[in-house]
Amino acid sequence: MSRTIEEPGASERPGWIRFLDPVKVRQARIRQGWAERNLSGTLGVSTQVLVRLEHGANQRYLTLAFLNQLASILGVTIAELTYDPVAVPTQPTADTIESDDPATVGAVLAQTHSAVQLDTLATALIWTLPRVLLALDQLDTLLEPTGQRLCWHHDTHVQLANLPVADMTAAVVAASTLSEDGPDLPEARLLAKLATTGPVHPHLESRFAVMRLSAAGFIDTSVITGDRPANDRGAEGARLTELARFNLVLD
Amino acid sequence: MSVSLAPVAVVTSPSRTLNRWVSARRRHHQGVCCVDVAPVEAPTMLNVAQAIIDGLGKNPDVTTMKASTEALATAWLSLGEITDVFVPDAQLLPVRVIGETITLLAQHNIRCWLLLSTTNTALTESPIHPYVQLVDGHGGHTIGEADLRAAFPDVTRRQQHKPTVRPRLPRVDGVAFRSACRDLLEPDHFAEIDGRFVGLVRELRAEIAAITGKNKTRTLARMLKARLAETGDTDTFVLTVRAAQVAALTAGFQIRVNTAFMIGAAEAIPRRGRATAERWWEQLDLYRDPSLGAIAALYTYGANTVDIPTIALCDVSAPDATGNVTVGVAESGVLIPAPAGRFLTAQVMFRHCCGADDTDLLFTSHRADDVSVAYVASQLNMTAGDVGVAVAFPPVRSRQLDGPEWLRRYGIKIDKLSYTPTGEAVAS
Repeated sequence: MSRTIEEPGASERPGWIRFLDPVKVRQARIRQGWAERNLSGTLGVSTQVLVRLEHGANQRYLTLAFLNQLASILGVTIAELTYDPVAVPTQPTADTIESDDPATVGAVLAQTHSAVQLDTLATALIWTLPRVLLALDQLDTLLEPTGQRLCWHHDTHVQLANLPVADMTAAVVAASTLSEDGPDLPEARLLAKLATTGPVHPHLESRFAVMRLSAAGFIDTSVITGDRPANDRGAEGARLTELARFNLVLD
Repeated sequence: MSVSLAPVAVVTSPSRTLNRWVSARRRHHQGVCCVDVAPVEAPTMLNVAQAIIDGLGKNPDVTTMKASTEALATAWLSLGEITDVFVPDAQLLPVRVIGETITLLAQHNIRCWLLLSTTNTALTESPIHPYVQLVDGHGGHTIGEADLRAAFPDVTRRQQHKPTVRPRLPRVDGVAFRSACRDLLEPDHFAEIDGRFVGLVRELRAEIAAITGKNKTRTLARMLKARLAETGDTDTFVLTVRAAQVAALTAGFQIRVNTAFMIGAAEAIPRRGRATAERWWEQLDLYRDPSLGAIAALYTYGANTVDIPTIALCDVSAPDATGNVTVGVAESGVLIPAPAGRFLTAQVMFRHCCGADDTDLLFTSHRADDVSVAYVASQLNMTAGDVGVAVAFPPVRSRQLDGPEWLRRYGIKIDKLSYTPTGEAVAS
């Protein structure tokens, strides 16, 4: 999620990330006597874009050049348009989250099953947009260990999504599927071969069976040498792991 | 208990507590039966027979045939399970009926204890004197209440040891079963389960290796059916299936199991292994007619519904030393173990008491007509409603399912691994 804008040099100060404070933008505009329509015309954007900016939206598409232009027209620095450092929402960790907001916003997202517009979410919860964004950040942090993340659509919509399966998770999935459904016919053939006649070359077997049994920890293919079997009877082959031997050969 | 079969007259004073004590003797001595004849104007042997059936614990409320009560009482007594019969307030029955009762019981090696209550201390002047004389005439003797109580003391039964409740076995496929047990069960529980599992796998491997001839898959299915049908509880069923999966895999077969289907079927479908755990035969003993228990026993141990009506009396063997009965059904034999076999023995005796000879059919209607397959099915269904014993899964089929079809009801399917033992293995 990159809804934040980094100041020049921010990369030199890791973690010093600020949101553009819409209230400060609005106050600066009023202080300088700019009407929304005039300012947007000077900036070269539509009035609607400026209005949304002053409501906390559309920040994802802001460029540094645009921010520089905005700050110079308003007679301030970029830093003066962002949240105060004290109030800046830093990236939360699971241990530091105490508010109920992530749970609330998570419950709403879990119920909707589809992408929800941020403004709609804020309106429904009667929250400010920054509060919604902070809650979503915290929710994202909390969800990560569970295999779910927040999926953003154009910085305006958000929904719950599953993480791509990591290698370790894939092994767990393969093992649990094998435990529940048992091996299919090619896998059973391979297991039977390995249990009765010893190592076999995996190139002669169903690739999917080899992959799945390997992921489930039933066969070990790490000792295979060479790309092709080439009738190389002396080559090393896939063999049953200790786990499989315990289960099938009863070692 | 009895040294000789001569009847015994027990002279007592009228006492309700004694009658209650007598009624409770069956709880302490299983071979004892109390024949408490209902007070009627002119008691006959029919009343005595009814009292015998009631004393044996038959439930009068369950469905009954219009069968001869005397024949039924004789049939049940012929099993040899009863050794002593008490007749409380015997002085209320005619002497002739008492004499016939003593004779009937003596024919089945049962000793009769006549409880004669009187307030008259002078025995010769008492109304019970003719009964005492009758007992003397049968070679018996007279005792007092104290002697009776001493002969049948209370027996404190040791409370049955309840097995420790163990967590259920993991519901995982056979290829991962052993490791799942190791990871999920307590060490002592795992040691026990693993010992059984490994033993089963080795037994099954030997049995599968011994399979010869054509259609080995069907032979394996029949073998597995025979083993699974004997399993008493779902965990044993699961353990046997998992062991079979492992044993079959290394012998060129794959046993595929839909675990959820199997668990549901193992809980719902009746099989003979559940008979002991669910006390089928004790429940079926509540029927005064042995025919229902006999039909249930035949079906449970593999007789086809369509063959049961054709069984003749001569097809049923006498019980062997262990009480097992062999029944010739459709040119093959069905071995029925003792707890169930007693119903067949009683049914044979009942038919003989009704005047049937060896070539007559084992089962007839109350009008002595031949019974149909539908009748057999209705009898099998009836027990579920009457006494809660479902021996057949409805609808009752005319023939028992063969191995593969039987397994399919449990979500189990056997495939042959076509090239396993001679595969393209890379030598290591």
